[in-house]
Amino acid sequence: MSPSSGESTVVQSKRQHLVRVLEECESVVVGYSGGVDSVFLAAIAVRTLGRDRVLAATGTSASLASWMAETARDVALRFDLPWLEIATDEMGDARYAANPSNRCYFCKLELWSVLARVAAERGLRTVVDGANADDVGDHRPGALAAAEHGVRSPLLEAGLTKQEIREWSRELGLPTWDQPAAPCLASRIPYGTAVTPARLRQIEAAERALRGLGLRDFRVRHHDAAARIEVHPTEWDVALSAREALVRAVRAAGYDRVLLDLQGYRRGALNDSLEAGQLVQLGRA
Amino acid sequence: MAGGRDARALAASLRGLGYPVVEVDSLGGGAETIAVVRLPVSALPSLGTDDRDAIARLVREHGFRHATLDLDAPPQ
Repeated sequence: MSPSSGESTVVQSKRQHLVRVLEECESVVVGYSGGVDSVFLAAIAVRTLGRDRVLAATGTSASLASWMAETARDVALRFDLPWLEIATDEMGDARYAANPSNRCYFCKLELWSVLARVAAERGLRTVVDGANADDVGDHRPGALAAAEHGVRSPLLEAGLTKQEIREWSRELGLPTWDQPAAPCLASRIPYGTAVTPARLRQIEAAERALRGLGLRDFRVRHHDAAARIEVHPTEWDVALSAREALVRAVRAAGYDRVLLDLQGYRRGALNDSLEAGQLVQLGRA
Repeated sequence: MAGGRDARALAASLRGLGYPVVEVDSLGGGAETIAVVRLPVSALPSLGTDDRDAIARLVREHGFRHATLDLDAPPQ
């Protein structure tokens, strides 16, 4: 058996496994952020279970970038996904707003509580999230909240990697197939610095401006009056060629200093400063 | 914690490697110390990956967590 045939057999097996997991769930509320994984999960859930047994639910708050909310809505409309936008209030939890290293636990506590209520109201049996096999070993305190609420992770259970999800998304014609990872805006604020609506708005304004200048894969890290911009190494020249416009735009968002990080954007870099005891790592399904 | 001395020493080290450093600022504190390296605008486009890695390495050796360029660079 050639490597490519073997590989395709493994992928097919994972795909079949995903379908079996969804069928076990019977009917689902998908935690639907507009990101690659949750869009894919919602689309496959509808294909597998039918529209009447799926609801894609987007929790909206100041920490969800408006462009993500727009993507969530646009894809739901375009692909006829049953969709609900519902407010979450993690900001009202002082434990979240204090921005500890397990901030995501408190955020997801709120999200899964809200979606569990939605599921109960709509007679849908299982709440599911878009965690995938590449998340294993990452610092994922939100996963504890998911486990406490009985949230299932079908993509993780099926062993699907991000690359496999992107490939399958592309086959389905989902516009999110090549979308960069997009964690919530609170992830731009260093642990220990409070998450506030004003800071989130400032970060979003700066990032929206950078997106308008052609950058795709970057983060604006908030350091009080300074914006430390991490761009993917492949976009370094794009950032430099737009330097003056970039400085103007980020200053217009309210920052005094506009800094370009020499190491560039690295997934999970925020967690570099955490000690081993602070990490909450996602295990295998 | 990064202080004025570290920034000056870092600037000297970077000049020693041949970079036309105008100055180095330090921002932040605790786990989030930032070295802000100011280079002339003319020097920015020629900074390749190896240069960025070398500067970042030196910044970390001088006790800062983040190595950055000030994008509001002087025009020289």
